Amino acid sequence: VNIPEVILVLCFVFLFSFLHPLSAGPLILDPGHGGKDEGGMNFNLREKELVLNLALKVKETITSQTEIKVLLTRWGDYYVPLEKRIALANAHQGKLYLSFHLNNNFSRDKGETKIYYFLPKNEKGEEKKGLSQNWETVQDKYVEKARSFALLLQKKLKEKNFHSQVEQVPLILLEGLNLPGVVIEFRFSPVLLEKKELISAISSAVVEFFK
Amino acid sequence: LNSSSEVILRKIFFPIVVFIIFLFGLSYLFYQPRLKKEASISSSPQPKTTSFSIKEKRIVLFFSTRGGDFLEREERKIYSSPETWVEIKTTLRELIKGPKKVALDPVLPSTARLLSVYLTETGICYLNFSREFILAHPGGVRGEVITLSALGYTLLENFPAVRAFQVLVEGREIETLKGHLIWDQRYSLAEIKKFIKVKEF
Repeated sequence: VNIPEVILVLCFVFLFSFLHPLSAGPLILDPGHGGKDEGGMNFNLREKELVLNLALKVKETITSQTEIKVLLTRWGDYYVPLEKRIALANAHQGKLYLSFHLNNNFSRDKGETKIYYFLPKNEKGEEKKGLSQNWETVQDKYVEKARSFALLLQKKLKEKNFHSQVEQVPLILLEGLNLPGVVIEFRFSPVLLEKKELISAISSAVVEFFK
Repeated sequence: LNSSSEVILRKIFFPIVVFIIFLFGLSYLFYQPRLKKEASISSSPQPKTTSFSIKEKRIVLFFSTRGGDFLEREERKIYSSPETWVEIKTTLRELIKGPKKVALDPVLPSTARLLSVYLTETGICYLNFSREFILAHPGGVRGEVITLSALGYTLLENFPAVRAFQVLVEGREIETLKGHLIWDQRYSLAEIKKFIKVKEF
């Protein structure tokens, strides 16, 4: 083995990783629900379809403007179990996981856009904190990064006149995720989801986070 | 009709019909006073029974504001009981019934039933709901946050003996409700307060 050549190659790889920071890991977009799991419904509009369209548009915008690699947890209307979505994101060593959902509750007025990040489990989590890479506690170490992205996205949305709130809740949607994860629950409005400014705000936040 | 059948009709059939009508009329006149008497007896005031003094207790329920950004208080009265779990059951049944204020929205499916309540000596309260708790729930992160928080605030503000609570469905621990929040753990009031605020006036 020619040691100087190996060192030279390693130097190139090292330099390339600096010059090409986007190779760090892909952006994972998770359009919630799908297939038999329709999610919420409002005026005959299905959450699973609206969030898939949004994810595809965000992917198109980001990939057309940057070199960030974008992966989706589902590409069509089929059911993907939650564990599989998380496993996919972990296997591809994603840099950021964005899960798209629509605000749905008992209220007739479905509410504003909310950005959620993970609140670690309490007592059961405490018991297992000693164990490394535990499914229930693995997201704990990314809470700060996820929070900073949530605040960045809120800022970008505000710049485009979209109101949103950032909250920390115990999300099973992000349990087991080995990268920073955020869930965005948009207002249940197809008009909002079609807006170019909204897609631009999300893309802009992602690009800034990947810098 | 021939003449013989006309005779049969006139002399036999018609008298029989007239006789039957007469019998019905007679029986009506005979039974009517009795029916009236029975009706008057049933509508008469019941004799007063010995009254037990059941104390009432004022409780506070928490319902969702429009859009689900906050919870808001609504007061009710329930019959008090020496057993805390009985009062918890009565209180949560009121919560299932939904709000009386028009401006508020429900927090639990109206078809869900609270099957049982277990309160441990250490103050852990287990609420065991029927399967409708999951099946009839609208889901959504916000939807699940509202349900979890409304249960927490209602329990922990009305019953100081309760330190934390956990929801069971058909006697079993549930991992999640509709795939958004973690439900297989106990929650305290301090934690619930982080999720959603109560609208103060």
